Amino acid sequence: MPSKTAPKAGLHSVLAKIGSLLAIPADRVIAKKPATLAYGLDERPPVVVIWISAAQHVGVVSIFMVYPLIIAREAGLPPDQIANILQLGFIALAVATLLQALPRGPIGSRLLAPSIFTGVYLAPSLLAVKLGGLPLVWGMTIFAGLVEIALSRVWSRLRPFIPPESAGLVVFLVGTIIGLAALRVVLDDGPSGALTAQDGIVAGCALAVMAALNIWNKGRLKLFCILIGMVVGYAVSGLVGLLTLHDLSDLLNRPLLAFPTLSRVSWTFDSSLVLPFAVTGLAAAMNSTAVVTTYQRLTDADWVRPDMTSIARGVFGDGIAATIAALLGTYGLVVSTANVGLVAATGVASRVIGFAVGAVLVVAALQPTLIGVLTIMPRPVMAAALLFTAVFIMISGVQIISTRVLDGRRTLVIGMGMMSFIGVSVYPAAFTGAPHWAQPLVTSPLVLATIVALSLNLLFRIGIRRKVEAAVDPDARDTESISNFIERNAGIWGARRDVIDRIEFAVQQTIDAVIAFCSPKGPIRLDISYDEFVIDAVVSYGGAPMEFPTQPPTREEILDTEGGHLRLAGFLIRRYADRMGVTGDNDQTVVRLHFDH
Amino acid sequence: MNSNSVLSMEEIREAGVCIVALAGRIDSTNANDVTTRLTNLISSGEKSIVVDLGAVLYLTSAAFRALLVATDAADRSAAKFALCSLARNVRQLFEMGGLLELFTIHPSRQEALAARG
Repeated sequence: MPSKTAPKAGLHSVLAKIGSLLAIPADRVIAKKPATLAYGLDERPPVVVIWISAAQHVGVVSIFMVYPLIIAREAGLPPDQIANILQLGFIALAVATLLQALPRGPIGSRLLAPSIFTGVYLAPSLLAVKLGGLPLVWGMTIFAGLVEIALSRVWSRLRPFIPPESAGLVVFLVGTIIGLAALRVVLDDGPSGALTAQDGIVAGCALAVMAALNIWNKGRLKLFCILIGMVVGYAVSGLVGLLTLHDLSDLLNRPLLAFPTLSRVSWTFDSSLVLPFAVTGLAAAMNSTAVVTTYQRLTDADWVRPDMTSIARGVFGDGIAATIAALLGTYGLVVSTANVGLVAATGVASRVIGFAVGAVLVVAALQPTLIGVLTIMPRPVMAAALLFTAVFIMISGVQIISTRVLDGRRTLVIGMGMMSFIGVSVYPAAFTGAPHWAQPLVTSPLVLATIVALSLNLLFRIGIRRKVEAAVDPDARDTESISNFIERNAGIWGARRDVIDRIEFAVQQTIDAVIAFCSPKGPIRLDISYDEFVIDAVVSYGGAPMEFPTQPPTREEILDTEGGHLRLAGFLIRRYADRMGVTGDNDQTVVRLHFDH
Repeated sequence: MNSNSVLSMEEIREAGVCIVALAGRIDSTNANDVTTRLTNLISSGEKSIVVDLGAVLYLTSAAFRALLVATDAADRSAAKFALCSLARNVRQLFEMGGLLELFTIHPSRQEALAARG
């Protein structure tokens, strides 16, 4: 009957439309799945695996609800308002995870990359909550999100100024901040605070369970070690009196479903916090870069270097998500380091799970009992979870740093950055004499360490570009010598093998085609320059320009015409270089081949 | 042939198949030698040829053209013509040039011989 089938057809068409939007575009290059993964990025696991994986990711993400909890408690909010902030927090996290999992468009890294509330925002948010309460935290977090969005637009070009070792340093220091936050939570916010026996017993038991399951359990319990440790922590809290029957009965009396409200959300701004929050936006972008890079290495067997397009989209999505989180009145978030660990541990990296994670987070946001369990989380349980994740994040930072050859320049950049962090943490009054405008920059350990590392990196780039040149006689060409020239110099510069191979082919192919088809007058000149992130090879010759088509010639063109053969050469050169250009006329031609390193 | 280009060609007969093993670099200085060698084999009546590229360091567009000319000659003579044992970087060149589908390519010499049999 038309009246019944029409709506059904409409629903089908809507679902089909949604399905087509979430499907992988046909022109997408599928990454080769590493043997360590059970389900690759673009694979669709069985439904059971999808939902169990989603639940685990939400479990990991939930641990980091401690950050908005810390800020809300710092603001002195009553339990119902804290619960409302956590509900909105789950919705913000759902939006962030969905943005990163989008299969097309300019937003998101296109990965299963859930977001978490982060220690990156902790220090400036604590400052903001003291100066102007939660509205100032939310207003300045919007500003940090916008800074990250702006940075994402030029992120690829900033790569030489924000090298991986600096991103690794930021990840390490964020881990350190989380660890310090754990101590702050359990020592009750005071430099002379002593650990109470109750707190010590609860935190010790929770931490011991987490560590034991992680180290000695070879089965699935290892994947849930943090959650199980927290459950044990709640139980021990009940035994030592940190949780009461009243707390439990309050949980059981909550409604089944509750919707959060935006009625208490407002935003204010303070110019004195612009610099620390701008650096926070930068640190969040660096953190996202490190996380997305780790995902790329994990999910692509043929990975050789960071895909800056995916990273820039990820940073863009991260900035938008942080802005949305602040508009909803929650707290700053970033793409999760902890969830990368979960993907690595389980071998399940399917992007489609990101949508299931989003759905579970939205359902969790509407569950007052679940939110209630989080709001009554005892401080030592919170501290144990933070401390446990902190050490893994710190070591992730060390691993990112150690992927680089640590010469004197990089050692100084990382070492001085770390010392700045430790210095301001141990001697917080060291820069009290600094000008007022500079105070926000030099009093936050993370902000100062980031600025010191990036500034030194910029300074030490002076004199880094190196250049060599050679001449090739078209009548007595020596391909072995050209090969040795490239290999020898690129080897001295520490260029990667895959980049050396591409340069060698592109240069040899260019010279081969020039000699065969362009009738060069005099020697062909080859200049190669290197500056750590870029290698440029310039081939100059007296003769007509070559053609570098964007489409390959047909089989018949290659076989039957000289032009077809030459176009194949030009097409291959264009494909091998990351960027290329040709200038000149019939007298003098310059072919510039650009390789990202 | 330019002595610097260091291309070597070796013919081996195995299970009724003529295997031509190429080694070194193939570019415009020596691609004609490859064309001549392969087309001579075909015109002399050879009905099954496998070109082993396992020891080829790199090749340029001139080499692709030489292999295409040989493939074309084999088609016209109803001879079987295939490539085998492409090194990773050489296979990448075929992929980048969109040339994989223009040739019959086997992962190894053994698989090429098995396919011929």
